[in-house]
Amino acid sequence: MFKSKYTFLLVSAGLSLVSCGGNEDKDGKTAKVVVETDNNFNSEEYDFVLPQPISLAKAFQAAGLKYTPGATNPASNKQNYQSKVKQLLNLGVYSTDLAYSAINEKSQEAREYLKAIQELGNGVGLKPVFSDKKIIEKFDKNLNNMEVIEDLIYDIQERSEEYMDDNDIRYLSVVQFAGAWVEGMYLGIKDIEQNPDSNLPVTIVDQINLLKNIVKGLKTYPTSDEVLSNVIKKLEDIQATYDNFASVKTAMESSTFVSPKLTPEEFRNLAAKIKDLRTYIVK
Amino acid sequence: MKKIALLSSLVVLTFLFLSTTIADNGSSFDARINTYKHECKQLIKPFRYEGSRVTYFSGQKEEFTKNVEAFLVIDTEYKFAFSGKECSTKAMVRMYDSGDEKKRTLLKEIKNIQGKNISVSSNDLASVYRKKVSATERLKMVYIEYKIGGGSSKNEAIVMVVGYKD
Repeated sequence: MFKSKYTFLLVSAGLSLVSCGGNEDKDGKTAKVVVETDNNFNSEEYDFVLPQPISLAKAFQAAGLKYTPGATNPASNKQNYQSKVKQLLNLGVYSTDLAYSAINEKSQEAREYLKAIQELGNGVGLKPVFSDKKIIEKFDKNLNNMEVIEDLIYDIQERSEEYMDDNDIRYLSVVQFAGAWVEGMYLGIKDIEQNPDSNLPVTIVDQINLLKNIVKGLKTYPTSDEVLSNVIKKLEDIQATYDNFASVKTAMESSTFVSPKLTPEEFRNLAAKIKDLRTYIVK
Repeated sequence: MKKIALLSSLVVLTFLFLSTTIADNGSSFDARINTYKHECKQLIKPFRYEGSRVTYFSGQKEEFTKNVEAFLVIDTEYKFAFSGKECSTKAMVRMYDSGDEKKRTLLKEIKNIQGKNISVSSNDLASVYRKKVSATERLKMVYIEYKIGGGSSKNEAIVMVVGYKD
């Protein structure tokens, strides 16, 4: 999936000094310089584009997600995240919380999440994107103008993605997205539990389709990490659980692409696993 | 001894020259890709930017295939922009509703994007989708397949940018 955009690794400069006595050796061969390159240039056969966290929030909003005070991960928890993976995951969680607050016109909450995102972003090596003081200044100037705030969120997301692409650290964005996805699902589930007749279950099922790409992306993370391994296991468990639901199997066997309608028991089962993962990420 | 020193210097200089040339080629390639990405972003305007994917390839002798999957998470119009300006051989783009070869439906085929920028609206894809697939929901994902002709030994790429109407 991910390739190193430029891997012109000069693996070895096989400098063959064939002759020590001039331009030609005793057999009359010309001295040659062999520079071997390992050109790992090709993208994998299958790749994907993940949506932005604000797009997930907007999909839930369009399906009727209502703002629930206290449902998001408090911005003050940011100090609890010390490892890079935890910071990345919660950068994603806060990205969703920021979008969720902004589209629900909760500007003070959104401001707190923006500050948390800046802090975590600086911590994970995205300083060029997040250290800009003008971001928070622009936010403060437009606290009551949600259109400008949304523009700002889109701008941050785009700059962040470009920075990661340009610096061959796209694997960071997948970890971040995993946190964003889990938080979005969590907020959706919380809402469904309070409003069981909403249209949100359809959106929940739609978002499950992103899971296999998230797992694939997380597995490209270059170093082993216990938290990340556990997150991958839990995501794979969610995928396996979902795939084994009778409603999902029926939909998969159908000749048309109609999303499965989960039974209440299936939904409770799925919700419990997502909530468990969310607790693991934000604790 | 002088000859050895001279030859060694020559070898080192050649090595440095090659390294620098490769690095320069790399940065100019990157610059061109960024330009094409920017052009694609212009093509999707005024839509919101959702993401992009640059598909890289090099040194394939035979025709080969690369795939990119994108989800339309919001029920709105999406726009896909492609740039084949960094592609020296024929490159066909096919857009499907799924990656499953047994069940997927072809929604759009662009015969050749070599040297061109092209944009596609999800409304056009959805219209074909509704005609070809009965009793279904809205189009929720697009599976893009590039069929690229072999024969070039250069490092090349196809750029894709996707955005949506907010």
